[in-house]
Amino acid sequence: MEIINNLLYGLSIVIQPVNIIFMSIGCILGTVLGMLPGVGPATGVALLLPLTFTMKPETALITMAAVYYGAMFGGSRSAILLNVPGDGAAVASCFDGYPMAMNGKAESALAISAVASFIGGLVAAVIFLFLAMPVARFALRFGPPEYFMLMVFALSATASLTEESPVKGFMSLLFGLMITTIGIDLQSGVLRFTYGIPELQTGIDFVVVIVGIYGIGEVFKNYENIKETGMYALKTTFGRIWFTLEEWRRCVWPILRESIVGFIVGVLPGAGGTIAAMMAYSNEKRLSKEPERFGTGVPEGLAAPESANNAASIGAMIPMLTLGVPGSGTTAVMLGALMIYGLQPGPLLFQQHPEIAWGVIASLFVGDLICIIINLPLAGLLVRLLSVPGRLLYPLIVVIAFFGVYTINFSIVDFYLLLIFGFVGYFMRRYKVPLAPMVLSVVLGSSMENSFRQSLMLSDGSLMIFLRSGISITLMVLTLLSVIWPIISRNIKMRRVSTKGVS
Amino acid sequence: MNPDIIVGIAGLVLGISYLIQSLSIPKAFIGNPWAPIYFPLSLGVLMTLCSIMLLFQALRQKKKGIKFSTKAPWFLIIGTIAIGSLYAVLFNRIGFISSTIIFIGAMLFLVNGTKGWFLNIVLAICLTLSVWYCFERVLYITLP
Repeated sequence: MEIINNLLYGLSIVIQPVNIIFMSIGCILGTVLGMLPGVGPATGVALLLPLTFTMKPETALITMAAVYYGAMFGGSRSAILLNVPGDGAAVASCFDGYPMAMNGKAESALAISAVASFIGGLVAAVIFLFLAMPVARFALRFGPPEYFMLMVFALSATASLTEESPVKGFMSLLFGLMITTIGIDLQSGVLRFTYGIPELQTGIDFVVVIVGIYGIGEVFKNYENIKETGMYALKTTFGRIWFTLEEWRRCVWPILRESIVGFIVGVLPGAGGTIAAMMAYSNEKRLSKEPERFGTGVPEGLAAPESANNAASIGAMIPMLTLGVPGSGTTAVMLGALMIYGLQPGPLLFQQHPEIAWGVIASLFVGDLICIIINLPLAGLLVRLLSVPGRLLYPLIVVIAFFGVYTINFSIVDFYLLLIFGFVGYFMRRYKVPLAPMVLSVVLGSSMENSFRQSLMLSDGSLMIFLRSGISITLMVLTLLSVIWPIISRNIKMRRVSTKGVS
Repeated sequence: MNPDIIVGIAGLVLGISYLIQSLSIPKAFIGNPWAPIYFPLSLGVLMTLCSIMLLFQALRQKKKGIKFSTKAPWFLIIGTIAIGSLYAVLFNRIGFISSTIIFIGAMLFLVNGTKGWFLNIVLAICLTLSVWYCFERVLYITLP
């Protein structure tokens, strides 16, 4: 009963006109950004971040969430029609989506992926609804030491579970923390790394870092193949976008199974939509009676990753909303949006600002509906946007990033910082250094330091406080495991390779 | 060159210079004088260690790194940085409207090229005015 009441309360927030309008804009924006190769949900949410200063917090968060799952819907459009994944999470959708389109089944591919995304989102939202309160209640038992350990775990897991090398993940993490040390040390009043620039005394605003890394850095990376964008020979006229009963029968179980898999992967820190979609695809291939047909355009090979990546995007919001600790770049930006309002996300959010917590959860259901409307009947219209040339798009993203950053401090220094971080973002992309650990540590850095110092105040300076409860000990063990795991898994792989070589 | 070697060298330079600079942070007047230094110091040490590990791994692998199929688009990147810096210089001197028209126009001419010059100019002027309107009249932010 309590859950129904909470859901209805959330819906009453969502159906306020301003929220509905911004959510629809978010869904469209997300779909478009997800569709355009090279620009992903993180960029969309990052560019929205400065705009949220002008909104109410619940509106801001609902809009950002809409961009996030909207992008999961949109990513498959370009994967199916062009064999170009709109973002990482849509890579697996190319495997069977594009062959389906090649076999003349573009309409059913577009339809089945949209419906799979819809169901994936719906299943995940229902699980979210039931899990939110228990997790938040559990988290009320967390004191500063437990929070500190939780953040340490989230950071180290994000660094070590990246698709690139874990060492580079940790370097990215350390770099993020270095940025947070710039400015006045609040405890002693000592200036650190300010080089005599007065604007740096209050530290570098994480919004500038995020917009630079995700906005400008993404544009720099896209400059590399600027000539190719917008030059696609594209099919824009479609028959009825729908699928046959036979296709539906083959897809319904994979969709339901992989929604749950995707959700679980999404909740874990570090692993996101990309890993979820890949995992879903290989799961279904393994379970299939005819695995050799995967890759030739079987509908379940498209439906599985699509439901999984949507479910993952919603699962990723659970730790952010209920614990206040994000597990991915995009959710870290959303957490940052809450912190701009001085709100501490986490269990207390459900008590003090239920309109935000339940509003966001309820918006997942409504937004899912809006997204499927955008992606089914309007699919033919939206894919035309794929022909917008990057030559126009990228300069405009740069301009939006500049205006956005200006609204934070009205300071010119932020323009220079934006360019510097844009270049850093490009460097990290080009040399395959994962971005998420850095963004996470920039957002979490100061709250991490705070809870560390609070813990030491509680214990009069003894580090033993971090071992005071079962929760923090468990988190410590998990952290150690996440650090050691890459080494173990590499050794196992090497051993397998060497035994194969001998036999 | 293996990209890991480049990342390793960059990390090493960053780690060591950060380490040296963190040693020159002024001591605290109250409490433990080294308190503000511990955290940056350990970050610098860890960064240096990680970079050495990465370099060691990369050199031991000895396999050729991923060859970049594309060259870094230096012209566009440096151009964007130059135009952005120029905007920062001009912003408070010549005011929002004129500096922004120059900024948007220059960005479009840089990336979109001179062929679409008419569109570039129209876009630059329209965008500047609509952003100005948003800031001044809707958000009540005073611009220079």
